[in-house]
Amino acid sequence: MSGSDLFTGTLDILILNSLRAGPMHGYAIGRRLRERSEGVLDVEEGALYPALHRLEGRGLLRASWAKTETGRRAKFYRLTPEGEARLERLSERWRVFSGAVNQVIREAEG
Amino acid sequence: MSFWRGREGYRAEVSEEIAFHLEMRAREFESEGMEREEAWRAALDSFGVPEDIEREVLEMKEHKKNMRPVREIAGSFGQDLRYAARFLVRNRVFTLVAVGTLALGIGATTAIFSLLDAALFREPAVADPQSLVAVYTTSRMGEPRSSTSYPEYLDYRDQTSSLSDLAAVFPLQVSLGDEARGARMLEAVGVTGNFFPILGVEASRGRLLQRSDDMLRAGAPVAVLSHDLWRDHFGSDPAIVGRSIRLNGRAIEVVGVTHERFEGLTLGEGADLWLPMQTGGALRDFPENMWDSRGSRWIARLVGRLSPGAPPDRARSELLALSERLIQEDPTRGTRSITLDPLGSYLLPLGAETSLPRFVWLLMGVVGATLLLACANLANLLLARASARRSEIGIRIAIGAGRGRIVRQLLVESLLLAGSGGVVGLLVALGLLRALGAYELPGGLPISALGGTLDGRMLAAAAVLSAATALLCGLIPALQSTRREVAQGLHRGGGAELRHGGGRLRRALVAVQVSLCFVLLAGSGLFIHSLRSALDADLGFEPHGVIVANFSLGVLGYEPSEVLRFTEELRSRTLAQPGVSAAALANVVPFGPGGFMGTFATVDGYQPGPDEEMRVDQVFTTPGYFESLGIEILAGRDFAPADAEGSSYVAIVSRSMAELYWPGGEALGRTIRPPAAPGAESPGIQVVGIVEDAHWRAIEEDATNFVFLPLAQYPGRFAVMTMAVRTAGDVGALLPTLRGEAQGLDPELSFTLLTTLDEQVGDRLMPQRVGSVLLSGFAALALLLAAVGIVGVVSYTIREQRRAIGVRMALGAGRDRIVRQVVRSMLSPIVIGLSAGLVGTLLLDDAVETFLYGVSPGDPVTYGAIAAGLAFVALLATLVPAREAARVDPMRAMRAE
Repeated sequence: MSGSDLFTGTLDILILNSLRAGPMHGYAIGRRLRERSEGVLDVEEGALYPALHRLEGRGLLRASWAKTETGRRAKFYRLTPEGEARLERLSERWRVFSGAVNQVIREAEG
Repeated sequence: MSFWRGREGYRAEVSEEIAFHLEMRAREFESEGMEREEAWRAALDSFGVPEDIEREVLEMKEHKKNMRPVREIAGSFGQDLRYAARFLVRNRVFTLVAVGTLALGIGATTAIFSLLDAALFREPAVADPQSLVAVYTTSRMGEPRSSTSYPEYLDYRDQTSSLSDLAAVFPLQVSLGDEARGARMLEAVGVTGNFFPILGVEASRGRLLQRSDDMLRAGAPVAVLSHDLWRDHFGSDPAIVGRSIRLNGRAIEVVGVTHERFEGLTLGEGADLWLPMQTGGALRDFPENMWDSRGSRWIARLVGRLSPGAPPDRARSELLALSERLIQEDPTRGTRSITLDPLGSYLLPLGAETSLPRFVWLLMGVVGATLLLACANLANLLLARASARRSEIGIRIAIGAGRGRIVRQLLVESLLLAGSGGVVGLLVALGLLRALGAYELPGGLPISALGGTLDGRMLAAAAVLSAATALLCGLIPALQSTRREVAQGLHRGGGAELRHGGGRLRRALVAVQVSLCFVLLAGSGLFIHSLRSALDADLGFEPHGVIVANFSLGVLGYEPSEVLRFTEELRSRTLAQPGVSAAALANVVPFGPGGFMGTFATVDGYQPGPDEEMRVDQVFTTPGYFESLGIEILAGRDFAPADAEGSSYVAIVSRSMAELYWPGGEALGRTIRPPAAPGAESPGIQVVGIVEDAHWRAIEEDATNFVFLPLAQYPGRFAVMTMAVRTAGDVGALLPTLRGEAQGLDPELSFTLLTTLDEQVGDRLMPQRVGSVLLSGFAALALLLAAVGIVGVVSYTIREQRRAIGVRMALGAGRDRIVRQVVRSMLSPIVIGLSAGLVGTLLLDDAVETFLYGVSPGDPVTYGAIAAGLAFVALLATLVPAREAARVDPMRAMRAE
């Protein structure tokens, strides 16, 4: 697994995971990531959008335009079944992988 | 599905999506209490460049339509360039500092390199300069590159096989008579008839000199004009060939004009005309034995063409062997060794052969160090910036941009920076060359005479330099920031350590900057110190308010008795001018171009030691000499008009001579004797005065034995006469008056030098002056760059560690402790830099020593002061951002991530 694959996976997990709670527009996903991811997406929030569109293009998300609570038109994303399955697989891989990495780092530090 | 709605529809959708995001974000900021406008700006800042994001999304869509790979690369390069340009415009301060740094580094290097190139590497306009050699002989006294006698020249020319031919050259000044404009002094070169054939130079008009021109001593004298003289003085007269001109009062026929590009062989000493040696000798009234005596060494240089295939070394050893054989045959021959310089470039002025290249290389070293410093600074800036952009880069990688793409993007930015730096640097170089034109290099060579210009090769050099800088400074940070992102992104949040790999590299760069800065500061310190000592030195004379004028009467055909009459007349006319308090004529003044005449003396009542050389330098003067120059008369009297031919011989001696030979202080009234002619008794010369010691040839020279003799008692022709005039009035107004008075006495007389003694002394300090000015400039620049570099590193390190600092402060660490910690982290690079700088400076000492006066390299006071000052600036540069860091509110710092 090369470096960039790893991180593609990371961002994918974060996005897909945010949408588990229900459909959300890009801004809300961004805010959620910002709050929960300790600043990974802090520098350029806009970088989120290419990822959303890529996931949409691969059928993991579906997008549709709808009104927000304040009546504004916004593009909402929701998980497709493929997306849910994918999130499941990625999360599992991530847990295994990050556990291993944490193990290694702890050994190196200890 | 939106995918089918077409590109424009899709683009509109993406735009709307982004607009929605921005508006929401702005509202969020507004709800935190920001003004509307400020909130929008903050929203944009945190979003990035909307156009870029939009483009990226659209690209992702179109990616499926399979672009051609080549078009993709070319297209994305254009994108990279646009993106880079936008980034640089957005980060104005960074861009200004980076471009400015590069421009100064590249500009200074290019300017000095073009000087170096002009001084040392430019070829004279002759055929195949690579196979030409300049030959000098070493005299019996051991002076290298001394002159050669005519019979010796003939031996070398006729008995050497590794040289296909050999020409002899000697420079002389001649006065060109012009009824309309008065006399004009010209630089002439006396050459043997084979000179032009050896060089392979063509005539642009008429013919050049040929062998038959210097065969006969009584034949019609001829001359060849330089193209410049023909154009400037004779108005490009088409009928010049065959015309007769007056040189030193004699008619000489012009036979031709040289090719436009031929400016002689010596750098900066453009010759006005060439004469056959015999003609030149006649114009200078050479005694007959000059052509036959091996003791008369008057040929300045020999120029030869190597035989095909003969290396310079073989020619040298052949000449040396020949010289040794000839010495055995005739022990009176003076030559002791041979110097042979391959003539791949212009010859340097006599006396500047070693000092000039050293000086120019020294300058090159200085600017090289500055460029290096600029590069270190730029690398630091790029590193720091790359680290500040780490999360942005991380995201770009995360959304699928390959590492290569990111590296390329960063490199394009560097190239753009370097390109701008290079262009601005060229302007800097042009400005610097213009500003330096007023200065002279060692050997009295004005920088403007080098004609250092930025030609195509300089442009190419600047371009290569910029590109190399960009690659060097851009590649490392680019690779590092992309690699580290992979390794660290995972562990982010836990990375509260004060050390990073990048931090180490950056601190190493700070050490490099500090050490280079130290070297430059130390160098400029030494030069300034040296200049000050030289300016403060007690010269023994008072140069202020003294005009010196050199002229030559011998070349005008004056008999010795006429010389005396002329000088007396000129002196009395000068003394009659308002403001003139003293005037005198002599064969030499301090720091003047004339040579000293040394002789050996015996002193009544003084018994020399077994190996003691009773050598004294003699100066022939009129009354008023010491008053004119401001040399104090310690005892006795000045010369008087009564000290003339026929009256008893008198002399004035220097203090050190009086103290050496008459230590009791009873010099006045004692007798010295010059060496007697064979069979005659030497006349005794009575000492009538003692004057203070003075520096005559150089500021750093020790006092030597001087004896002053009245000109009137030794009628003769001197190669150069000097008039020294002390005035209380306006020097500038008096200069033309003096010229007018002299030409009123003889319209063909012209001053070869008309200047002030101040200037004549000042010219000797040119290397120190140029050194001080340049080095101080570069040192100031270096200090600024180093300070900017340190501030940059510290602020970026702090930015990276805001969270860690916040955590510490939240845990109770005091502000002082944070400041101390930050400062301590910079201490070791500063100390390492200072030590390395000191070592480097000590290694470079040899190179500067030649140019220093009154200060020894390795001067602990200078170095200590510089180290302290530099450490102070460096710590200040650390302290300012460190204190800023400590002012951070711990809670905000933690939340900020």
